[in-house]
Amino acid sequence: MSILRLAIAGSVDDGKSTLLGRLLHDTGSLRTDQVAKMTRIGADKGMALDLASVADGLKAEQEQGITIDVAYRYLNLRGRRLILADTPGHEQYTRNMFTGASTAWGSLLLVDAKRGLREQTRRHASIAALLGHDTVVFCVNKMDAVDNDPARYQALADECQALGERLGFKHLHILPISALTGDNVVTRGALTWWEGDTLLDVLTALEPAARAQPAQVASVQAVMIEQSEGQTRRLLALRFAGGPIAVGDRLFAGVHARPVTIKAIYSGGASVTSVASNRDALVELDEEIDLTRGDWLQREPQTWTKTLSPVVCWLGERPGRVGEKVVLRHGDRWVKAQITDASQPVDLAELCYHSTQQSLESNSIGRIHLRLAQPVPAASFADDPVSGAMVLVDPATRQTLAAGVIAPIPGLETTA
Amino acid sequence: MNHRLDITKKNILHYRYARFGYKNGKNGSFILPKQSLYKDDLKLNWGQTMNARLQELETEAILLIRETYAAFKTPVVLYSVGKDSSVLIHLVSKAFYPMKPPMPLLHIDTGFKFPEMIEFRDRRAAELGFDLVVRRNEAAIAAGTNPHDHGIGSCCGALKTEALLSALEEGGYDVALGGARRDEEASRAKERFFSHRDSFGGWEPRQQRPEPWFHFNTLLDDGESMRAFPLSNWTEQDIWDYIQAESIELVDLYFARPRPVKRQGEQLIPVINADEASEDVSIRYRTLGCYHCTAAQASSADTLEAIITETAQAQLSERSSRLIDHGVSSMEDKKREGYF
Repeated sequence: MSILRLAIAGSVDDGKSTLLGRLLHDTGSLRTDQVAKMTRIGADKGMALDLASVADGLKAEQEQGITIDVAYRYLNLRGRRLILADTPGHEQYTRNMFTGASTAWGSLLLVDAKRGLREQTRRHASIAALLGHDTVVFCVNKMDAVDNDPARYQALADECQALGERLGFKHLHILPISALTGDNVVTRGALTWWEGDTLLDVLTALEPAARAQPAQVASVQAVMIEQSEGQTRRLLALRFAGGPIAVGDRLFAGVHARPVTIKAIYSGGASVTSVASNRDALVELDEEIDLTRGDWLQREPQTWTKTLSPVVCWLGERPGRVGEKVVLRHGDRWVKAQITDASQPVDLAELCYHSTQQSLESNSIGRIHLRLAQPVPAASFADDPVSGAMVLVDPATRQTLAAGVIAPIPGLETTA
Repeated sequence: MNHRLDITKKNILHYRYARFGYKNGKNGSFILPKQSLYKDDLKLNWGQTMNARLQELETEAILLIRETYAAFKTPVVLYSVGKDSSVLIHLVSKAFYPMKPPMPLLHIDTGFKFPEMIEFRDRRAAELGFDLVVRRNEAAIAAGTNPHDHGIGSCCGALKTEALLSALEEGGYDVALGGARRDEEASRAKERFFSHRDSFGGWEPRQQRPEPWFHFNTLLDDGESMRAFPLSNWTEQDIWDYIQAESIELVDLYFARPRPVKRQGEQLIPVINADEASEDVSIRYRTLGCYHCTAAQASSADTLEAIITETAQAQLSERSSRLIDHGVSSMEDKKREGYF
């Protein structure tokens, strides 16, 4: 079975790390020395088990009792592997939340039953939508703190439903839990009135969306030249998403769409006739043409462009400014770029675009406009996650400034 | 054949040209010299029994390994001879098949490694077609640095971290691949696939670069370097399952055999010196490090199947047998200093 890759997100103190600890503990995923550590740290704080202590691994996190960076945890749920990214709730560490959520295909979004949905809940939900998560599980947490009140749960569930529908998640699950007491995490516990699934039931039934259509583009990650017995061969390491690439496939190379045919494929340490997108591929073409790292092979000639208008999450410490020059990692190529026009930040309270501005603040989401030094093939992120995504880097400091996708956030575009 | 190549700064370029060919200015790729030996003499048994989970992890690791080759000038693979390292070099071999691996192995020898590890290291590196670089902090070894007199922290600092940092600097390696896994330890759970190190080799965990998708920011300033962890998402269980599926050869110390040990508290410490008092117990190692600081476990698991069963039932986490990891956040401190 394939791996479940999920992120836990939500506002600070909504109980993300506690839920992670609870899941690890109640599914028997912890060794005895790890449980002993939870008990020892818990005793210092006057509680039976400090469930959250399992997640916070950095000294600064333990000292401050907060999560700064994403921690990855590995669970076996009824025989199925789950990689859970426990992400920080503080707005300041949105870059780390984005990192953890980007390699997941679904999220667990926590809502504090007492405090309700917050701006950070909507920010994280918007990021999940931006990242194309097709599954979101809203966990209305801390039900014990509102006396397990079904009416309170229903009011919040309605808000979650509206938010989830607005952002266009394909599979939406909403359920009440208490991570602290364990209710409805693995067993029903005190939430006796709840007739739906427990969190564990929901998680074990999740499936990633299959990507069956053939890959439209493949990025050349590396070019390797093999010399053997006087012969040289160029082998291309490809990255692509979608259906298989096979020997005999006719593809188009680069911006000039030069036709080439796949002559040989190596994958998994063997010569093969075809390879699926979830496997690695080294390919040899029928003729030696000038292709370098970052070039693209296309199934049909794509539209290439020197302007892009991605929706980005600004991850840098300083705001992004109109006019500034950046370098863009698109696929496996670094391209010089400039932010040309005013940006359109997203209003997270109203979930609509603000009027245009000259800068994009740290940790905000918005559409920006870029002029590129070289043309790139750009599909929408939903159709092709390899060519539809990009990372912006400050050429002076080499710090990552933003991550963006070529995509509408469904719920936002209608009100734009 | 002597595989301990001595690479000084002076001849590093020559070494690269000789072993890996030269960088072709036109397309930025490496020209690799004769590779044919590898095709006829495959000492790898590519497995046919991998499940979807292992395939997904393997593909992710190969993507990362190729990225170190494509995006950096001088990659090197840190080879500790342990089980995770053994999986890593197997994956490096696969990532470049049908070519010979275009990056050398670097082993930091503390002088306290089990003799079986040294023999195994030299043989495996040669069989898989890797060049092997061995580095020791000879000054510290000559000064008799050991964990009993100097403390575990300073012993590790001198024999491992210092030796590693000077070897990386000397070799001009801008990226070093390691077999560390996030499920090993709390601060490792926070590690990126590509982990940025400042020009002193230090890690700043509060300022890690965001790492969206697999679109890595691999840009470095002068003197900075990167650590790459292709096995980040593998668990101990995955490592053993993969070793079984791919029939990867391991150093015999992982298998239970009667071996001389002494008792230290509840831990069994191996006795290497024949003069020292010891008793023979059927033991195996769950992780392998220096013999002073690696506790053995009493076990009868002498086959892979038995080890997998034993690991699944283990009550203690993996690194509880590594004395160096004890104490609050000791791994984080060591990583900040430049430890792998």
